Order: sequence, then C-alpha cells, then structure tokens
Amino acid sequence: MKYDLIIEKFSGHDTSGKIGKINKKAGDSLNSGDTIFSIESGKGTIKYTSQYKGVLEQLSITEGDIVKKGQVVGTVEGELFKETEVVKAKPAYSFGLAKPVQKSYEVDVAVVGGGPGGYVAAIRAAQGGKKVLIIEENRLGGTCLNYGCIPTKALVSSIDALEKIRRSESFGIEVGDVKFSLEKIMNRKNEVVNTLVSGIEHLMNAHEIEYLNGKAEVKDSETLTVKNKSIDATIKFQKLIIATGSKTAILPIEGASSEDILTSQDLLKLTEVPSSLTIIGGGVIGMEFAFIYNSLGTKVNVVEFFPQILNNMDADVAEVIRTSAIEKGINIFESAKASTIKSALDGTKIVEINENNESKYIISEKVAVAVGRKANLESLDLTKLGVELNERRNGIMVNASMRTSNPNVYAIGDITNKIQLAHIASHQGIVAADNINGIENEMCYDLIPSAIFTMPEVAHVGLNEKDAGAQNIDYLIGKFPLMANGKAQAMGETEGFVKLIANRETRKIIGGTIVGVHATDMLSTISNIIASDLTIDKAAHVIYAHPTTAESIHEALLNIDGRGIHFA
Amino acid sequence: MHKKFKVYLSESFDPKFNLSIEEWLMDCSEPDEVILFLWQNENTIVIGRNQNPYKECDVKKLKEDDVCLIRRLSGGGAVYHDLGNLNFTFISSDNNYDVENNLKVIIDAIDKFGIKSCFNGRNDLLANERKFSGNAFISDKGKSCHHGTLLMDVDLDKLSRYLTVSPLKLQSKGIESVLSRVVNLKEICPQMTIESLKTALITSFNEFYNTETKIIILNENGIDVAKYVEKYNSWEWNYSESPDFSIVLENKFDWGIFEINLELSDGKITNCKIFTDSIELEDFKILEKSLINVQFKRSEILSIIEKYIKNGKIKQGLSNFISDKIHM
Repeated sequence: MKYDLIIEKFSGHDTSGKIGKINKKAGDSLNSGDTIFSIESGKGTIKYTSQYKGVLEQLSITEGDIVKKGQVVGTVEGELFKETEVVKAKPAYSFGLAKPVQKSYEVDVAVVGGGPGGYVAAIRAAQGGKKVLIIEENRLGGTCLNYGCIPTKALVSSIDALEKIRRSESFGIEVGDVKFSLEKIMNRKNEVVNTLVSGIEHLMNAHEIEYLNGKAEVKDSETLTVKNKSIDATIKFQKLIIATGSKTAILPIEGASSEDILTSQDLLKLTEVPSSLTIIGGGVIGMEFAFIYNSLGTKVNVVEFFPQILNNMDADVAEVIRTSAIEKGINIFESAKASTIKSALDGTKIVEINENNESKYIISEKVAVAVGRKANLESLDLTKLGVELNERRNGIMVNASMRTSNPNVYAIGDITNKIQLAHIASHQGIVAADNINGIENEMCYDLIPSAIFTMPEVAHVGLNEKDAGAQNIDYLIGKFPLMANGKAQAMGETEGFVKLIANRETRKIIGGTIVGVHATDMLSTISNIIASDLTIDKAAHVIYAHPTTAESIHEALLNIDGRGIHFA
Repeated sequence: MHKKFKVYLSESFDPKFNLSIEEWLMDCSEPDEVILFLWQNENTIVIGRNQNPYKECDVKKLKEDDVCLIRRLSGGGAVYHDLGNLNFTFISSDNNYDVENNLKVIIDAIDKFGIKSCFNGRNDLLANERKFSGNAFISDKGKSCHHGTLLMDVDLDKLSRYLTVSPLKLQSKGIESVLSRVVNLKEICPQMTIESLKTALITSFNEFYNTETKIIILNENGIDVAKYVEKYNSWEWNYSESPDFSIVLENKFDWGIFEINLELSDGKITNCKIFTDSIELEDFKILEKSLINVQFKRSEILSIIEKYIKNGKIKQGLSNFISDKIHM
C-alpha cells in the first residue's frame, strides 16, 4: 500500500520547523522505527521516524526546508507497522516561573487589539514609515478570524459539501451512506483559522511591526504596559489606536447568564452534535448557525424578537430564507420574545417564549444566545486616556477621521459601535492610520456591503426598500429570479433572486440585494455600479459573461424598466 | 506515577564520554526516573545536530589548538565548553517532562548566589539581560532531554575565537548559530565556583522535588559506554552527519588559477567542478571524475591527487593547498 509521509508534530507547540539531516533518500528501504530525517524547531529537535516497512518512494523535502504541521513530505510503498507502545501526548509547558524580562518601547503608533481593525491599521501605519507596536490579548485575527466570520465559513463549507453529497442523486450520482465526523469538521476549521492567524503573524513580521501578546493596561495618557509570562513591557506611544472589539451580549432574562447557555464562540467548539438546539436571536449569527446545525442533524428552533428573521433585510429576502429554513425542518418563531430559560432535572433546557401575548415553551438539549455584540468598553481605562464615550454610551465617540476626544487616540472597529462588521473595522483602521500618516481620510458609511451565509446566501449593499421608503425616496425596483438563470438551473440552485433599487428621478442605482447561490461573491458588482454613480442605462450597457449567475444582475437592471429578456 | 529521582555527576572532562553518558541515560533510564546529570568538557566545541563543523567554526584553529569538536544529539547552535563551564542535563520520560520545572531548578540554584535570572522564552537563560546559559531540547522514543550550558568562568576570548564563522567559502543547508551577548556568572558573583554551583543545583533539584537524592559519580572506569564513545569519536558522526553542503576552494599557483567547487552529501563528494587556466587540462578532468564519491577527508583527497595528477609541480601545489584547507 502507498502511504503519505506527513509532518505530524514538532517539539512543544511549535507549528513549523526546519528540516535538518536527512538520513534516507528516495529508493531506500525502510523499517519501522528508522529515522528518515530530523526536524528542528524553536522548542527542540525530534527525529521523524518511519511507521512503515517498505520502500521510501519519494521525498519532496531537502535539508534546510521549512515545513509545517500537516505537510506531506513524501510517500512510502509498504505496510504500516504501528509500534505497540502508545506515545502519550506531552504535557503542555509554559514558562510561567521564568521571571518576565523588563522591556521598554518607544513607538510612533501603538495598536491595542489585533483583529481585522487593529492589524490592518498597524500595517497601514507601518506602510507610512511609522514604528508600530501591536498588542493582542488572545490571538491575532480577533473575533472575525478566530471566533466569527472565518471559522463559521469553514463550517459552512463542510456543510455545503455534505448537502451536495446528500442531493447527489439529483445530479445522477449515487453514493452510499454519508457519514461525517464533527471532530474532523472542527479540526479542518481550526486548521483554516491557524493558517490565517500565522499569515497575519507573517504580515506583522514583514512590516516590522512589534507584536506583544498580553493584556494592555493604561499607565497614563501616553504610556501602556503589557505583562505576560515572559515580558513586562512599558510602551510609550505618540499615537494610540484602540481596536479592542466586542463580545457576545447577554440577554437580560432569567437563566440567560447560566454557564450552560451557549454563545457563538461555544457553538464553534461543540464536540458532539446536540439532538436539539434553541437559538435566541434570528439575526445573521443565529441564522448561520441554525443552518449549520440543522445540516448536522440537530433539531433547531430559532426565536426572533422582531417581526422577521434577518430583520434589517426586506421582507421578500427574509421570506426566501424562512421558506428554505422551514423546508429543512428549522422551527422559526418570529415576533416572539424569550422570557425565561429554565433547566429540567435532566439538564434539558426549557425556553419560555411570548408569541402574540401567549406563553409557549420550547424544549431542547441546548440553548444558544445570539442577540448581538457589546463593545469591550472596560478593556482599557478610557478615563485615564481622556477618551469619551458616544451619546448612547455604548461605544467610543469618534469623528469621521476615527479620532476620539483625545487627539492622540483613535478608535476603530466594534469598540466604536458604529456598524459591527469586520470590513468596517478594517476600513476604519485604514482611515485612522492614514490620518496618523498625515494623509487626510474620512470614513463614509453610505455603501456598506454585508454578507450572510445562510442557505442560500444573502448579500446586500446600499439602500433596501425599507430604507428607501423610510427616507421618502421615490424608487424603482428591478428583480430577477435565479430560477430563470441558466447557470443556476445547471447547478440545481434556483432559490432566490437579484433585486436592484434605483432612484426614479436620477435613475441611479442606490441599492441591491442578492439572495441565492454565489450571492456574496456577486455583490461587489453592484457595489461598483453604485460607487461609480451609474444610471440604469449606463449600468445595463455592459456585457455579462454567459453562462454565469451574474447575468441575473444584468437582467435585474433591465427589469427596472420592464425590459428583462429572460423573464416575463 | 511515582517518580524516582537521580543525580549523576561525571568526573570526566572528555566530551565523547560525557555525551555518551547522556545518550545512554536517554536510552536506558527507567520510565519513572527523573534525572539531573552534571558534567564538564575540556576545551571543546559542541555543534548542533544539524550543523556543519566547517561552517560553524574555524576547523584549522581547532586543530592547531587541540580543541575537540563534537556533534550533539540536540539541535541548535554551536557552543564552546571549557572547565569554566558547567553543563546540566535533565532526562525523563515524556510524561514526566516539564521544561518549566527544569528551569525553576536552575533559576532557584542561581538565585542562591543572589543572581536574578530569567528564561527569555526561547532557548536562553539571562542575567542582567545577558545570556549565561544556552538550552536545547530533544525527544526520542518516549524520552525527553533538556540540556544546557552554564557559563561560570569561561574563557570568553577563546569562545569568540573558535566560534568565528568559517573562513571557507561554504554554503550549508543546516542550522546556523546565533551570536549572543554572554556573561560569566562569576562576573556577577565573584565567590561562585564550579563546585558551589554544582552543590546549589543539586540542592535546588532536591528542594524542588522534595527529595534527598543520592549522587552517582561516573567516570570511564565505572561504566562501559564504549558503543556510544565509538560514535562520538568517529569522523562519520562528527563531520559527515552534516546536512548537504557545498564548498569552494580556490588558490593562485605559479602554474595558474585553480578553483574547485565541491558538493557534499553524507560526508562524500557528490559533485565536483574544477576551473583553471592551467594548460594541463587533462589531469584536472581526471581529478574531477575521480573525486566523486570520495570522502571529504584530507587523506582521501590527497591520495586521489597523488594517484591522478602527473605533473609534479601541480601535484605538490595542490597537496599543500588541500592540507592547509582541510583538517580532518
């Protein structure tokens, strides 16, 4: 049999290492236990030994190569020869006893928080020639990369694969029993996250940004301190960027702060698929997880306080998602207020909800709360920094340049509580860093795209019908169902539509929503149409490649004037 | 699991013997043993598992001054040992292995002399922000080893003299050494001696594990590690276990310019190219071919020159040149 040689471990917790002496070459015969090569990493040296008896067919590394965990470095033709001895995992070691080294830094820009706001701001500031230091308490990448956007999308990708296989017969393919392992799905997700986190570490290095892992404390209005197991640092800064993000908001009802109530972060690390799950909150996070766990076999209930799930979206958009959810067996309770969460004797959860002034009970194994996120206002001593909160006191007050009430301090991302999206944080980071670099730049919130990874996907930019109505704009709409798109038919993904909104007077496109396959990837076309100030006629005078789902955007443009070709 | 604690002290200053003991302890200690082994080497360069001696040090100087060169099991960079240096080794099975505990033993021992020290999170112990101990780690077959140097009163001139980068034009794929600012502990605490440092380490080990370990003294007479010594004494282990490397040797003779490019793997020449403006091309063509598969050893190369170069003047010139450049 043929086996891949895979790098499985390094010394300690290292994730990459350097190949040292290679003792075997392609064509050599191998016995179980033979050393093939050695690997050096920061925490030590290990031998890479053969578990196989056979012939080393191929070895794709050379001495001095850097290798990563999981990398395939060669193949063996032979048989597996597992040693009977079970190699136990080494206990994790940290260096808690070592006294921290005192260090002091003087930097142009200190960034607190290494999420999509902070690390982007750090890079942009460094690009402007500034000496930058970034402090992250947890892991670079922040919520987005570690506990939000990215890991959920990794899960959604596994679910997509699972769903495709389940309906393979409709494509003319027969498969046997479909099995999945939650552990492997979660491992894959972790690998995706780890790869991206190490990518950001690399970016910090490449831009010569000093990175400190630990919690920042404010010493005075121009000094921070960071203490961790290995260093005790004092950082004097010229400018400070606060990017400390947000955390899951807790629902103020009985039982919601109990330890066994899950947050989105918990939902990303379950080790067993719950038999049933009630999600309080039918917004973006709640609905994404509803579809994920539904696919894995959980009986899912969603409780939404507002009259519709995805309440910011137009009714016809929510309708597509609601129909899809109900068809898949997800129970949706809208205009329903969760009033208490109780535990039965066997640990089962009972959620009391109030629908049309009527109390109802939902029983499930687990309960998750996804009712929004709260700015981490207590993360730094804002008073010492002279930084004031906004009027609603739920975020740091900033102007369009992202400057706070202290002219040397900027705040970006969820902590400002403007719009809590990763791409807003990144853009705010660029604006803040540009201003620090002496380039005037202001944040504009007119054209914010959003992407929701339900089944099917939803993507939106600019105004929707609700907004246009609220602003008394006389608008036109053009809608095109994916049902009438050739590519969508070929893919067997015909749910959803493209909807465009134009100003009747100016005939300019002012908003668009896509529900359906490829929605999130198609959205930027609409963003560009709006940002370029195009009229319906100009925008429609563009050739869209055939056969693509994006042709639906063209058809929707034409349909604003009732001139669509493929829909009547 | 119940742990058995053992402290070994070597009376020998021979690096071959001491590294043999270390490997023997890794191979033969019981799974429940937690071992501290203290040892010293006289006038020795110890290179990392994946280093190239020709690259890390000036082999010619080592030969002239009778400095021993030896390759260790663990990775990392090259270090210089003399009797002002004390080495420690912690060995235990993987599940009893905790670098943090080991470091605590060392740091507490140093503290007994009123010296505050800390681990820099990577491989060094620092006092007054200068390195006095380099550490390396290896795990194999369920056992883990953490060892390091303790600079007490090392001849720092010699240290920097021997650990200068090779004057040879050489490119190696292995691991490079990193230069550090070092300090002798005696400089911070003048009354410290090797003996008092040993005592402090053993006391600290006993205190940490709340035990009263009997000390086992080792020397060449008491234990037979010949099998290991043979390896540490061999050219194959110390020189040819380097990762692949290439080297260029060049010289201007009165018969012309001579440049030889060698690629080496497992201590053998795998590729050879000679450039010369000498008119005696025939000899060099043969030499190029004949050097393939020859060990990168002075004697081997000289005998090839002797055999294939016919021109007496060239033979003499090349022989002297090789003798000057290759020292093993």
